[in-house]
This record gives sequence, C-alpha cells and structure tokens, in this order.
Amino acid sequence: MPAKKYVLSYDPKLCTGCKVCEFACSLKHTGTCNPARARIRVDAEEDTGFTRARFCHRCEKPPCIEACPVGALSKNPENGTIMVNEELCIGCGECVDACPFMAMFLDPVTGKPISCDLCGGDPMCVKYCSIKALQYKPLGAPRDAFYLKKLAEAFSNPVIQASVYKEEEGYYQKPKEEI
Amino acid sequence: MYGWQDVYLDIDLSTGEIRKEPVPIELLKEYIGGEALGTYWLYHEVPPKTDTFDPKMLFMILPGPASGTLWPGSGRMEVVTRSAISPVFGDSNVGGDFGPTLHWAGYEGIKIKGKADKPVYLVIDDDRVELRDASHVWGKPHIEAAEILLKELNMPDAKYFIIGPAGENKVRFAACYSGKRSVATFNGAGATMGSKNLKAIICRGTKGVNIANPEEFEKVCWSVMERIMSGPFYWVFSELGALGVISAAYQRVGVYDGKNLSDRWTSEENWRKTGYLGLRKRKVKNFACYGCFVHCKHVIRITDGPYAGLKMKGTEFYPSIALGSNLGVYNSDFFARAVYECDVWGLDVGNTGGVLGFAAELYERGIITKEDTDGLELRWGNEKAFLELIGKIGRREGFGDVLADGVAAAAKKIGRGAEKYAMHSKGFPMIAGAMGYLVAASLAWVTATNGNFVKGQSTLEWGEGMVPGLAEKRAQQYFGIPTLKPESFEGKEKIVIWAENSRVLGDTVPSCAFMGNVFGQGLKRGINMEDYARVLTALTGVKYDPDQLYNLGNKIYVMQMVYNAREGIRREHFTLPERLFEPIKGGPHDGFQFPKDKYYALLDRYFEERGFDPKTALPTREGLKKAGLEDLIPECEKLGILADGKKKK
Repeated sequence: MPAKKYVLSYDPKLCTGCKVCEFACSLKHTGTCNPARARIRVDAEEDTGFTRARFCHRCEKPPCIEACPVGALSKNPENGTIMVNEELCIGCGECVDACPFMAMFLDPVTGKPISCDLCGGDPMCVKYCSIKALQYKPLGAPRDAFYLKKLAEAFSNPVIQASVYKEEEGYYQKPKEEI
Repeated sequence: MYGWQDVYLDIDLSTGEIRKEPVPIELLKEYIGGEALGTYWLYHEVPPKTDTFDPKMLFMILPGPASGTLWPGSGRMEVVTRSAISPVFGDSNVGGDFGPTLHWAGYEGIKIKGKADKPVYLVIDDDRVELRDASHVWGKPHIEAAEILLKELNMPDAKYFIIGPAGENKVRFAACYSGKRSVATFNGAGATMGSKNLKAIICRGTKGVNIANPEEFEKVCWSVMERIMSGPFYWVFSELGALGVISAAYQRVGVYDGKNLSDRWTSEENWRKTGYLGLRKRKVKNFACYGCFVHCKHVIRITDGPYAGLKMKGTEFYPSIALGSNLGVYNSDFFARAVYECDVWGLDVGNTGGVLGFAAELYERGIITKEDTDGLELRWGNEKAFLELIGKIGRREGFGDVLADGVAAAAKKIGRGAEKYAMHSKGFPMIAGAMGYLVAASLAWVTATNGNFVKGQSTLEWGEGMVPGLAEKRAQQYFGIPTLKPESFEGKEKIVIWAENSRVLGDTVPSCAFMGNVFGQGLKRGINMEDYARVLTALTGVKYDPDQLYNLGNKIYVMQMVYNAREGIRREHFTLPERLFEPIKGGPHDGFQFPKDKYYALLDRYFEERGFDPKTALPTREGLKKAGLEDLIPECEKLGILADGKKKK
C-alpha cells in the first residue's frame, strides 16, 4: 500500500459548527444541496460548543471492507479512499455500522454507501471552510495558522481601527500562536 | 423544479386538514418566496382588520428558494403573520436548522390557519405529515419539550420549531425557537402560534434542493464568499461577533443607552463590565448559525460568581443593552443569565428588556410601589428581582400579567402618568441603538413596517460614516448625498429606503442581514442585487436581473406599508419617544440635542419618496402605480385609505 502523502486535517477547537462543508460536499458530488448525501458530517452542540467532523480516515485495514458481505468495497490504490462497486452493493448498510468513526453513510436517494473521496485531491470542504479548521496538508507538516494571520491583518486595518476597534482598549487580544 | 420545491403545506388546524398544494409557478417567479411571498399571501388572503389571534389569521413559515444551500447565510427562514403587539405587518427572519430542513423535506413553506381545539404539534418526515396531540408537553420550556417529542417520535436527528410557556400564555412578545438558540423575535410570533394551540413543528428532510446549474451556482457562491472574506470586516466580525462589533461601534459613536433611555451615555468603566468586554473571559469559542460562514455568535461558559454553571450559545448585541445597561445592570454575566431565563419561558429579549426597564423606572420614580409589583424591589441593578419578573411575565402571573401585553399596553393599564416613561414606537420598545443621534437609524426604526430594529438599518452611519473621507466618498458614489456622517440629515431618507428594499431580498432569497449589503461592510463587499440575481438564475433556471429584484423589494415594502395603513396605522403612530429629543447628558456628545423639526421633516421626505402622503401616512394613487401595485388601488379606494381618493365619512 503506498504511503499517504496528504491528509485531511481537522481542528475541533477552531471549527464553529457551521456545516458549510456538508453543503459544499453534497453540491460537488450530487449537484444538489443536501447534507443527507454529504460525505463529511459535522456534529455541533450549540450550548457547549462541542464540534466533531466525521469523514473517512482511510484506515490501513478498513473495517468497512471487511464487513461487506458481497465484496463491493475496495481501497483506491492511489490515495486509500474507499470505492463502492454499485453493481455488487446490496445496500445492506453493514459498512456503515462497521466504521468506528461513523464516517460511512448511506445515500438516502441511491441507497448505496458513500464516503470521502478527497475530491480527487482538491477537497471542496476545505475550499469552503472559511477559517480553515479543515486543511488538506502533507502528512506530518504543521497546520497553517491561517485564521490568526487573517485576524492580525484585519485588526491592523485603518478603517477597522477608526470604526470598531481601539488598540489601547485591549478590545482584541492578540491570540497566542497556538489556539 | 429547481431551487423551489413543488408544494407547500396548507394546514387548517380547526379541521385538522393537511393539504399539499402546488405553488403557482407564476407566483413563485414573481415573488420568489420568503418575505415577498409571505407578504403577498398575508395581504391578499387575510381579510382587513383580522385580529392577530383570530383563527382566520395566517401563520406562515417560508424558507425561500436558496434556504439550505451553499449560498452564504442561507440557513434561514421567514415567519410571516400579523404582529401580536401592534396591528402591523409582523415578520421575523430566523436562523437555525429548521428552515433548511423544511426545505429539504420538499416544502416551499407552511401556511397555517385555524385553531386546534387542544394542543397539537405537527410532524413532517419527508412525505409523511401528521398532527399529533401535544397536551403532555404543553407548559414545558422549549428545549425540554422538544427532547420529549423527539424521543417519543424516535426521530433524534429531526429539527424543531417550537414555542415556550410564554407563547402558550399568549404573552404578546413571545418568541418561537428554531433549534435551541435561534429565535424568531420581536413580533410575538410565539403568541400567534400559541393562539392556534400549536406547540411545535418537528421536521426531518432528506430530499435536498435541486439546482438548475450546479457549476454556475458554485461559482456564484464562491465569488461572494471570497469577496466578503477579502475585507477586514469579515474577520473582525468573525472574531468579536455581532455583540463585540456593534457594542464597540456605539461606544465609538458616543451614544450608549441605559436605564430606559434616561441615560444616553454609559461610562467607559460600566461599558467595560457589560457586553462583549465583560463576556470575553467567558468565551469558549466562536460559533456559527446553521450553514453560515460568518460565525458571529459565541459559546460561553460561566465558571464563577452567582451564575456559575451557565453554558449556552451566546447572544447578540441588542440583548446586551436591553438586559444590561437598560436595567442599570453592568454585569455581562447577568445579561447572559437573563437571556437564558427568557429562553426558558420563551420570551423575546428586546421586548422583555423594554418592559423591565419601563417598570424599573416607574418604581424608581414612585409611580408604582411594592404593592403593584408583588413585593419585587425593581431598583436599577437589582438582578434578582428582574430575573424573577421575567418568569412572572412568562407565566402571566401578578405584575407579570400587566407587562405581558407590551410596553405601550402596560403603560395604559398602569395609568398614573406612566405613558410618559413608555419608550416605544407603535408599541415596540426603543431602548437601544443610539436612537436620537444616528439619523438614518432613528428614521429606520420608526418607518420599519414590522417595528423591528433591523429592517432599515445599515452599517453606513456607524461604520463608513465614522471614517473621514470615506463617509463622503461612499455617500456621493452611491446615493448622491454629501455625507454619511451620523448627525447629517441631508438625503438620509434615501439610505433608509435603499436599506429597507435590499433587506426584503435578504429575507426572501434568503441570506442573513449581516451578510447582505446592508451590514456586510456596507456597499462594497456584502451581497448586492447583482449577486441575488446571479444566484437565483443559477439556482432556479429562471432569468432574474438586479433592477427587477430591487423593484420587487420596493414593491413588497410598499405592500407592507399599505397593509399597515389598512390595519389602521396613521402618521400619528410614527413617533420617536419624546425623551430622545432632550439634550444628551455626558459622554462625547454632552449637550447634543436631536432636532425635532429636522427629524419630522426627514420623515415627511421619506413618505414623499415612498409615494405616501406625509400628512396621513396613507398611500397615494401615484405612489402605488410607481411601485407596481395598481391592483391594490380599487381595494384601497373601497377601504378609504387612499390619500387622494374619495374619503368615506
């Protein structure tokens, strides 16, 4: 099996639970906006701020493949994503049950399982994650401090300083490098 | 169909009949959905002067064609009915997950009339729709009731739209909840829902929204998102939230209201203890509304002090004043706790703050005493008493019952000169928002067809208007007026009309007010008419152009104004509280007096521009023709509400 070069990296502390990634994913894969057909799901709990994204982690030994009674699932040799042979698939949903990350879903329209295919290397969810809680980065590389950079830039803008924010008020505290 | 769903739900609670009706395509093409369609139905299907609590009154929930799509800020829906507080048009745009889910279930909206003879709730599970008995959750707070219902239906992933006890008790400013903390406020939609004996709507939708041209649609969404994110305002708004940005902006402007408008300036020391700066230490993280990439809410957790243990998705700017400085409480923990208390009973925070501040002022002045207030000591800053009174209002108990009909009605009930201290316009409280200094904002609040704060507001005065150079540049570029500066009166009616008309589209398509060109860093980066036209074209496959949409906004707004005139709103109802014309004490604008004559002259100009008669606030033939509403003329003539028509004696 080839080593994973790129990973989808998710930071729950940054994620705001907006679920735009679900809309983007379903639009890309089905041409409709329907989170019930998305391959990434975000669980967000309003009153506690708990957020969790569920997407395929491309296991070394995928339990979903092992669970499939008809051998309809296989691993993409290129990037390790799960491929579904829709002709063999009987829509039993045992792969959904088997996934320890709850990252395999049944499409309510086709009745067949769906999971993240990384959009062929340019994930739509990453594009639409406005503060880049989701990043697609080389394995082992540090995460990009995208949000902090953007904040620092925005708060130094003269229009913002004139209309909203005064530095001496300490209104905005410069975040530490690591959130 | 693309974008739009094929049917809407037509429900008569009196008979229990549920029908799935196709929406005529011509109607959809013209009115699109959301607020525009709701206004059309309310105007044409409800007989004039039907009381809000009359079973004939419609209660409509309309997501709009883009609801639940990638379109920025589209996780919203529009609740349209008549206001429970005043005889005016009553709409409320609410976020949360219910609107999109209803749209995915395959419905363009729900139109509810009639009144059930016992408490019921409505279940929508894609094609299955049924009414069920809700007696066992009647009287329960919204989250608790929703959890019971989801459990008994075995639909843990379903979304809900629900009222609390205040709505059941028809407190006239009760709210409806879309999910836990997204609230349809200000107009008492909760009371209307309660008057129909409808406790909740539970919905699960898996059908999704079809898109005519997915590639183009994605391109439009991305271009808008990219543009909004390219400006600094987006990032500041994301980090500080609506609460942080607006409370800082008003402090900058130099007017920060408090104590039922008897304070027009809150000292810096007190300001630091209230609002965002106070709450910052409680912030866990930024949090978004459903499907919105501007995450302007915060999740807060209070770990010490009297309110330790409170955790919730936190709150907006408006309640931070209404339940903060307005009550003389300079403690942001209290305002979070009070919002939580309002949620438990199902009350709108703005109106609740209004009546509490009003009652406290009467108590301080000795107009009411402990005998009236059931022993509550309603002094400024008495947190415990205020919290108790919120519960009393929700239950309509004792003194709470006096306040439960809104600030204007309460003043009438109490008498003894209390009217003088009721800060309201058309019955809607005005206790925050730098009124009586920001000219366009003061005008917009009075002219808002639903009495709501947000209708015709924009960032232009306290944003661009505060930046020398930019204020003039933008004003001349877009409106042909000299400046956007807050104190300037010249041409301000144009800004308000522009903002009102644009806002209609925001509530129709939909997109959040904070995203539209009204708030989203003003004219330059926010969603504008061209974006609406492009996205609607890509979404529905029907060609739209920007001017057509702007004219639709104008037409709908005028229709709402005619509706209000039909329900009995006249020029004498368009007033600012007298207190706002008194000199400001303290702060950077010490001694500033809002010129009354100039203000009412501005209001005259507003009516003229809208094609209404400034003396009576009634529509004119010419004005209706200009707005494309010729078909309303015969009815207006019959009802005697045409300014230049034959008047019936």
